[in-house]
Amino acid sequence: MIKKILTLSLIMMLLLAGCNPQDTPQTPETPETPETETPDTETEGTQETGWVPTQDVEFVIPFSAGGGSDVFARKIVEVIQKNELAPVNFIPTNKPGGSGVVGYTYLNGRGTDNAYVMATTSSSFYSQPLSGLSPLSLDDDFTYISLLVKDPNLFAAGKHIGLNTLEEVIDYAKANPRALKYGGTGNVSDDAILMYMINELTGIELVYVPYDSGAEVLAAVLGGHIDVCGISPSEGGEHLETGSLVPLAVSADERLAILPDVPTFIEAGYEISHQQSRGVVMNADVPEEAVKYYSELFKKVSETEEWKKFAEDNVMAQVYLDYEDYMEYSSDLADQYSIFMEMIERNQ
Amino acid sequence: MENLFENLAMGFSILQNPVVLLYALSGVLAGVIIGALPGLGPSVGIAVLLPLTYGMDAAAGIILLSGIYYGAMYGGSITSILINTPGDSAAIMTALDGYPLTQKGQAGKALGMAAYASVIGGTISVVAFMLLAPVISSYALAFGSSEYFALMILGLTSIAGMTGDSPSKGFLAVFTGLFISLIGLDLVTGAQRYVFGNVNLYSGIDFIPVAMGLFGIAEIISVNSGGEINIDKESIKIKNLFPNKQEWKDCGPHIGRGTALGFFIGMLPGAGATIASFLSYSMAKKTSKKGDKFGTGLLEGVAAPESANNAASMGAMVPMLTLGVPGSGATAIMMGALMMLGITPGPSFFIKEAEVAWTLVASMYIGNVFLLLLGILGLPLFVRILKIKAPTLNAIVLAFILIGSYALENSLFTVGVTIFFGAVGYFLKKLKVPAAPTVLGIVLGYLTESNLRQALIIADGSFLGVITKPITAVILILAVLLSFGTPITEMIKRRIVKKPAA
Amino acid sequence: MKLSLRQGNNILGVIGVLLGIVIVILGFVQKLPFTKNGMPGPGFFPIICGIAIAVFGALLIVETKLKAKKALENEEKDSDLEENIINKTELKNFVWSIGSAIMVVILSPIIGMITSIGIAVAVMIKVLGEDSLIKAIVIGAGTALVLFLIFKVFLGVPMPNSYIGL
Repeated sequence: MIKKILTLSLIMMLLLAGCNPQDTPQTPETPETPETETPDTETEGTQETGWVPTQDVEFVIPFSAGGGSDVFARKIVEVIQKNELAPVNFIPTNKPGGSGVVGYTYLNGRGTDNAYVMATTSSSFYSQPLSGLSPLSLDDDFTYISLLVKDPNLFAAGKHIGLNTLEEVIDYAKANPRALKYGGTGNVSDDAILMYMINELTGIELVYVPYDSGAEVLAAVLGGHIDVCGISPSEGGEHLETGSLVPLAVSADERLAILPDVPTFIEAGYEISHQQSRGVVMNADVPEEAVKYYSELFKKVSETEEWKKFAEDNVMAQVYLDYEDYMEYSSDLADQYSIFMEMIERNQ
Repeated sequence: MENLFENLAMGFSILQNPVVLLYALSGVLAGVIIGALPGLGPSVGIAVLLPLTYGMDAAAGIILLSGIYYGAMYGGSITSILINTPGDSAAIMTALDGYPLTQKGQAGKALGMAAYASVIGGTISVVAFMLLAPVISSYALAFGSSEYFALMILGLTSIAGMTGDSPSKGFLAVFTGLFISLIGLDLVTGAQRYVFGNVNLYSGIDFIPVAMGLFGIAEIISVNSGGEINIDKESIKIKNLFPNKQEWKDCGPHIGRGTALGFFIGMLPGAGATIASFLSYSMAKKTSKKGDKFGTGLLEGVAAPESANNAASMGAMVPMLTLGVPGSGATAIMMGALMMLGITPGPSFFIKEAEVAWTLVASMYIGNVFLLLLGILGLPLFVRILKIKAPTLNAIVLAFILIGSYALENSLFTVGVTIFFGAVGYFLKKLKVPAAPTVLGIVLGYLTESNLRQALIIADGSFLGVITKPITAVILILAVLLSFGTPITEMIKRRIVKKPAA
Repeated sequence: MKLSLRQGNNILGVIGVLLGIVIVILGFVQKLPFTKNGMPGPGFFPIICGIAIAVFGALLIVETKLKAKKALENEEKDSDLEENIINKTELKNFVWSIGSAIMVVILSPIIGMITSIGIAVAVMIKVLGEDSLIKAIVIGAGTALVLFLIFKVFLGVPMPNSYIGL
């Protein structure tokens, strides 16, 4: 009797799981999923090149679930699915480790089905190879598909230090070198880069305190253990509005809609506008038609209402770039990161 | 207070919707199953079932995920007790007394107590959550790096209870564990520590695969000295599943303390269910009259960690929901899920998203009841596992361990780590080196070091500055007292006894 | 084959000492700074652990000697220390369990993880147990099926790439 109940519940669970097409795995040999065979939708797979994916795509997330890259990737997949933008499934796969290196190595080492595996990019995509921690080459080992959003970096202070603007902080720091502690994630991340840039361009000396995650940084600054920090606006959340976290300046191209009174570093007179770029790459051996297809696909994703809302909610700047533009952009960005890495080494 | 009941009533009314109720129950069921699978814990469960929440409305999604969370806290204990293979890190301590109980033929009692402790701890915590969450979240922020450092040191003192009769072996194990946890890229400088260029080691060696190897695989290889494990048939009859008066009397205080400790620690963003279960076990051992019998099969040794880990899972949700600061690895993933569902947790969560919040609270009550039912009704089923012949059971358990360790990070390297530590673990077992201190070292090592170094940077390099901060100092003094207290009191007692004789 | 616990302890102690020394040496080889800016550097704690491991390894040897001496003094013939720790059945278990596990890791990229595990289960049951070949194969296949349902269908875990996709 008990066994029956338990088996029934297990079946219930399996059905629940099975009902969600997201979960149904496809082995590489299976043909297109019948449910998305709608020839009349404007987002049909056929374009000028005629290339269409015929098997499921593995979307590698080089980090663990719940993080920025993870949310980014899963949203893309959700938008593609909801709007039936592609005839196959995109399966998000977490391959965490080595700040992204494990995931990218996996992408690169894939011998077969190169047109069916891709990965997200973020700042570690650039910082790891350039700091010598990745055996991969940004020029030779990847095909750039699209850039989708830029995550601005926010310089913020805890309420407890009583300084409310960038100028006040700089003045205080000049009078008290090494007194203010700045928290960020990791040691070659965008947070660290931001601090060293601030130090170099303003002449102050903030002290870097590394943490393992944005949540820890947030807890530390809210609790008064560190004085300032570098975080992404979405990490700051409500605290930026309630005043527990005081936004000082934002590293972006223009002011953030949710923080209209906070100047950009450029407005304040400092050449800092570095943001975390999030896009999609594939490995080096992908046929051009496939590249063009995916590039177009992500363009459509970026044009949907859901995507726009997502970017807005998470305070990310929408900057779609197609495969050619992204490759050029990446090249420039890689050069920038080289400079950043040198700067960090100088200062450590 | 009236407001409270109004809100709760609202929560329960929404719960009457069968679909929502179904999500709550399925979440718990899924959590128990996943928690029971060796190696897979709440984090992996939530991460992997995340896609199921696409397109769900926010309330249903969060209810499902939190059900998985505390379901897994109980589920992990099942395999811990039955086959000495912790289902997840929070269940490692449960194995220390749970498995010996099974060996004594009392698996039913152990499983039963685990269920009760989990549910009582969970339910009390829901009440605490309900009453305190909107108010107490800021307390959780009072802990910074130096305080966490002190807490970790306190955790390390619990090694004292795990050395068995050979302190050298115990300390050898703990330091080896500590060392292993330090392998990887250094947080402060980015330097490669004992990695030698191996990309898979950059993020260090995770302790779950190590625990699965040291406990699970080592167990598979060993032959039980008493032949097949016999279940004392009496212990699984329904009426005997309710602990008798004496057992309640013994375990009650531990459950109470475990719950309080667990909730408190779970609330701290930097510490979670695993540390809570360690500390709770250690505290139970020190406060129980039968302290030195811990490790040989004492129900208290199951009750304490189990109540703590469930309480901690509730506690971890407090800062996540009310501050937007996740209290543990699993809650970090849950937060990602919430953000995808369009909810931003934060100080006004209980006000802005009142419906979601209170439905969640209501669902946690019901979820815990369901957990209890699952635990009790499922007991005869779980225990049947032991009836399977050893070679077959071992082969199947090995299968689950292998695939479980793969599923952690979708990496075969992790499987390799598990196998390696399985081999090592077998030798350690033969040489009577206890496995628990090794795992303790791995869990706490990296955290102790990184918190200390962060605290030092903040204090401009002054160690004195770190240890003289109020909360830090209190915890450190506590740690010293706990480690040296007993020997010192013993010494004093002996002196007093000697005097009259002289 | 006989190896007493006492001998085992001594071996463990020696391994401890060696391991500790190796850790310290490697720490210097990797040029991990012991201190940095007056604070513990990346090499500080690993080297301390290495030293501690060596110390406790040595202490273990001492402790074992003392215990053996005590047992001798109390004339305990069958002390725990003389217990033989080698067990033929366990060695067989060891070889076949670890061996099958390693085989699974090697074969997964070729024939799929679930299939390899199914085979490993069947092999272990046949070799280490007393059941017939048919039963072993059935249980192996059954386990593979259950794993497939739980991990591939229910949890959606992507299996390592292989030619089969399992």
